[in-house]
Amino acid sequence: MITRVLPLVRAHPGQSALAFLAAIGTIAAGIGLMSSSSYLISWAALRPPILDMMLVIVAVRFFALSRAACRYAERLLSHDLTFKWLMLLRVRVYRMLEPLLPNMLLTKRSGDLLGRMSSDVDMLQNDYLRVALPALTAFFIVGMTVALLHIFSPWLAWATFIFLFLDGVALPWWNRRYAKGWGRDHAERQSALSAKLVETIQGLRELSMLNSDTKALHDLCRLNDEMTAIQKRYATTTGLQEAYHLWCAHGSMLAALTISIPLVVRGDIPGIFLALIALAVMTSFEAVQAMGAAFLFHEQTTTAAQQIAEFESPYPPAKSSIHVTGGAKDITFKNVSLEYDNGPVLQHISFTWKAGERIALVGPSGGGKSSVAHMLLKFQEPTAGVISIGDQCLAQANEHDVRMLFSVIPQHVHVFNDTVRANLCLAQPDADDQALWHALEMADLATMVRQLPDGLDTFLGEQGARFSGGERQRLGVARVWLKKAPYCIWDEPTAHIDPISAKQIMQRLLQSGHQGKSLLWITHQLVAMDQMDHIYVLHKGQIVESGLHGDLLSRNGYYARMVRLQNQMLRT
Amino acid sequence: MSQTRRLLKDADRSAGWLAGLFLFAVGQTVCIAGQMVQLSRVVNGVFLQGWNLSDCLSHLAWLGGWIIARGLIAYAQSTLAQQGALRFKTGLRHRLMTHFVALGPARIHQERTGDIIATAINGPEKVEAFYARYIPRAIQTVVIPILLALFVLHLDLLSGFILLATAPLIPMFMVLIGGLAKQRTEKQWAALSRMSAHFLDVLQGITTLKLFGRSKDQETEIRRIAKRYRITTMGVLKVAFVSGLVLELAASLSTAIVAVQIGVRLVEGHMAFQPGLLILLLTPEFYLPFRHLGTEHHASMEGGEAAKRIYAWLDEPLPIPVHSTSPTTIPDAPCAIRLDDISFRYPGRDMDAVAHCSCVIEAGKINALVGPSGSGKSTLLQLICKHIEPASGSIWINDQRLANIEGEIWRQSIAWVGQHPTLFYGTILDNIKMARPNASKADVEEAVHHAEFEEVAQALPHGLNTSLGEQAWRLSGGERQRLALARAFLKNAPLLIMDEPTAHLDPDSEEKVALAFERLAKERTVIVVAHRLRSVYRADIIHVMQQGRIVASGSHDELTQSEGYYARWVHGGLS
Repeated sequence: MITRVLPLVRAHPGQSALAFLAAIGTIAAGIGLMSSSSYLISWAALRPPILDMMLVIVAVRFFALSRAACRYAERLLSHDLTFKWLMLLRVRVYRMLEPLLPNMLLTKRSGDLLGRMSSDVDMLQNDYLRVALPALTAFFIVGMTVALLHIFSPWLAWATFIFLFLDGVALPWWNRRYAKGWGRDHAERQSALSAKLVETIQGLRELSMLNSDTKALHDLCRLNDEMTAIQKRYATTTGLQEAYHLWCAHGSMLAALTISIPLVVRGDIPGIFLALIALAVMTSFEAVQAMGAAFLFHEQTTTAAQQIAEFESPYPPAKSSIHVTGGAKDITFKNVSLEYDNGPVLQHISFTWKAGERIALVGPSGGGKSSVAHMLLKFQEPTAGVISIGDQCLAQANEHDVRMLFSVIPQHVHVFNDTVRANLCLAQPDADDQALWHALEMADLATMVRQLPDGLDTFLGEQGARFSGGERQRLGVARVWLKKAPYCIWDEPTAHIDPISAKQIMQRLLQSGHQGKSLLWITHQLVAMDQMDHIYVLHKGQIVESGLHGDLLSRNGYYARMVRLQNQMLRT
Repeated sequence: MSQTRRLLKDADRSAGWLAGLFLFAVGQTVCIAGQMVQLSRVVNGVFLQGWNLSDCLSHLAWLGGWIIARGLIAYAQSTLAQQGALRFKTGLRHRLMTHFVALGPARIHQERTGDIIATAINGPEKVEAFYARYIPRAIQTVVIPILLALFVLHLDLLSGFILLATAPLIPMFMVLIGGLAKQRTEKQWAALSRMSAHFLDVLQGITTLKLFGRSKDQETEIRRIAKRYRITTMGVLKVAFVSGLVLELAASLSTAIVAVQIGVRLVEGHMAFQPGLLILLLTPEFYLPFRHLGTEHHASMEGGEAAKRIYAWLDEPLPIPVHSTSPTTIPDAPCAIRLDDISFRYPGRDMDAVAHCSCVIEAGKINALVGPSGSGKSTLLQLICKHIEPASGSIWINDQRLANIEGEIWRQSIAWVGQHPTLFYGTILDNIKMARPNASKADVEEAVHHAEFEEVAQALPHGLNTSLGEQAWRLSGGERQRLALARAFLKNAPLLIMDEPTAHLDPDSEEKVALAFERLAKERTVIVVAHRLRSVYRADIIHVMQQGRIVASGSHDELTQSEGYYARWVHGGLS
């Protein structure tokens, strides 16, 4: 709630105070303008000397000008604060997520998770601009109005307060409660419709070939109608809200008149104030007008905050800080198993990756090959068994240190929306142009980058939009050339590259720079296997065969069948 | 702007809706005037004429009546606007989805699914906001100020003129709201979305950042980017918020001017108190609609944007339905397909995907289609399935032109097994039965058996009744292939089209898919896009496709002996 925006207020106390004052000033000036104007006219009706009225005339002008000025200032200050608030939110959420994130992504496997996270953060910005600021302003203005009216009569003050409370708190609250089930229903229908549409669009060819497209369309239209039916039920409440606001504001004015008239008749209140009271009461409702929206946003930001907080608990970051120093050592897997909620991924894997050795991990996709790499990089912890580097257990090693030992080409290279240079310098921050071009050359990417408008300083666009899938992979290869690490892991690096370039890149990788380094090559394409010091065949989470290429072929087992199958493939 | 005009035109078809909104706006103005007249009379009576509460009662009752009426009209107007908007929205989405399906897979799969979903799900919602919120406000902005100005003019010429003097400012507001404010919102939204895109980029790339030990630096980077966008955006907003400043200034200053000049004339005795107060009460109501319209401006902008994308889709012409007088009979025995000099080009490309292609798909035989990727094999299949129409040339099914057969009817005689079969929400059984919804249990079991899918089904927790939902029991590539083959067995169509996956499955699955395929291929005309030597060997005839045309046809032996492209290519394909 309001406590959620406290960090913003603490970080920018002066500006927050000014924005708040400007927000109050805007509404107060509106009330002041109408009150002073009506007072001016009432007084004028008594025909005093015009010079006596100069002060009121000045007040009228002052309120008119300050209203516009306050509104302008309030908008500028609060929007600037919102931007600052978003920055604080992002940094805070990032700090929380940074230790947890890759592990979470591996197990949840949900692509839109991050998108939701990012839009949750965007939603939280409303906490300041649409919840805290209007609520505080309303609170203050209501207090001020009631206090002023109290001077005339306590009855007047309390009657107005009741109407303000109805309009600003009770009715929006009741409305949100009423709409709560509706919102959930509507969201459910909408996501059902959208899921069905995704399925229909993606499977349209199949549906058409199975002559089911008309039926699918019929289902879609039914879901669409269902969604509309729910919205129709709710449509009246928006209208009611508008009517309530009018009834509250003007009804309150009517009540104020009815209370004040006898007091004026009795002489307790001078008649000159009657118009002022009616108008001040009516205009004060501007303060509570934004409360309906504030309640709505409060509900949504609370949900967003809860969703973000949810990620915190189930994934405690590994607290391990034993430092690992460089230099190649043997890596051993002893009885390592890994399990997800829906079943085992790896079962009792044991092998040794000797220093300087090139080993291959092969097998059909879905056999758990990549999980071996993820565990080595500490993105995943084994459910059972021990992995060790030299004589040190990986579980206790500092994750940053461990990752610095490996240079990795992943299956999906992430290209940041930044320049080519920035994308490469991740691997070696102080690399000079010569080193960068060398790496690009080795990855077969130099010609392409030379053709870009700004060469190394060309922006690559969202998700590396300027690059094709193959070029993205090559960027990953270039990064590996820049990172100096004793161990290499290639996780299907050429899965998205056309076969001819893939062959070239692999050849270059195998022949040059990586000579003498320890290599773990994960692949389902059995190419250049004769250059490997050891091959492990992983099938359904278990090592079913291992040995040299020639030995495995002559054994005529699973590996040999895979090779034969591959030779069956036509190059298309 | 033309998009919003088109949206309005669509609304115009039910003229009653717009007329209703217009009438309610007139009603609102009457209520405002009535309410303020009573209020000014009461204040005047008590303040200057010495009325007591009982003298006021009838006026207060009238005042209450007007207030109730004003609320009721607001309620009715909002309800009318929303019901109409919902009707438009539902209809629009309905039209859009029908259009997608009618355009067919060949066109739809050129676009990103995400974009299509955004257009069809979020787009109409934005359009609804335009109808439900912006249009009623726009009508009020036209009706209420004009009527109120006329009323004030009738009460007092000078005050009326002051209000009307700001009237030339009104188009200016509109320009400011439409121009500067538009720029403002656009800039603001662009900056916000770029900031959140950067944040998302960092989140998505965190594995990479960690691999290079750079994830901690990103905090500073997030700060830096946020600061940069904040400073540039605020620079724009400083100027853009001026439109709001002008509107506010015009409203409050003319209220002040009206008040002061009435005050001065009251002192001088040139005016009575009651009309003076009435004019002061009406002045803010004169400006209120403009302010409301300003807050709904975003709805209009987004509605226009969404409409642009929706209408772009709806304007795409649909394939022309077949109106042939001769009755079409669909073949129920294996048929021959003859392609006669057909060409096809995708819109926006400068080369034909299929160029003057001729060949004969022989009846009851296995016809393999081979060729490098991009040679037009998939386009050829789409043409045969009638998902697209050839630009020139014709396709013959036995002695019938495909152009004269309704696509939907023709596809009843084709069984299709794609590279990556799509599974739909529901049970495995539902997915298989899509091929023939009224199939008996025995038929399904037979199809499952022939497709080698039995062992897959047995391993699942509820057999064929296991659902393939979000909690996905993930079937492997080979298992999906076999499910698609089971569908094909159940459909039992005379023409089988199989697009072999380019990636190989694991050896066990590969064996079973091949077995099931050979069973299915018997006594049917088969077209298989082959990626395996085995498929080429068992084909009766091989069509070699290159750059959009069939360059050679024949058996494997014939083609190998001819020393042509095929021989070189097949041997080069062995790794």
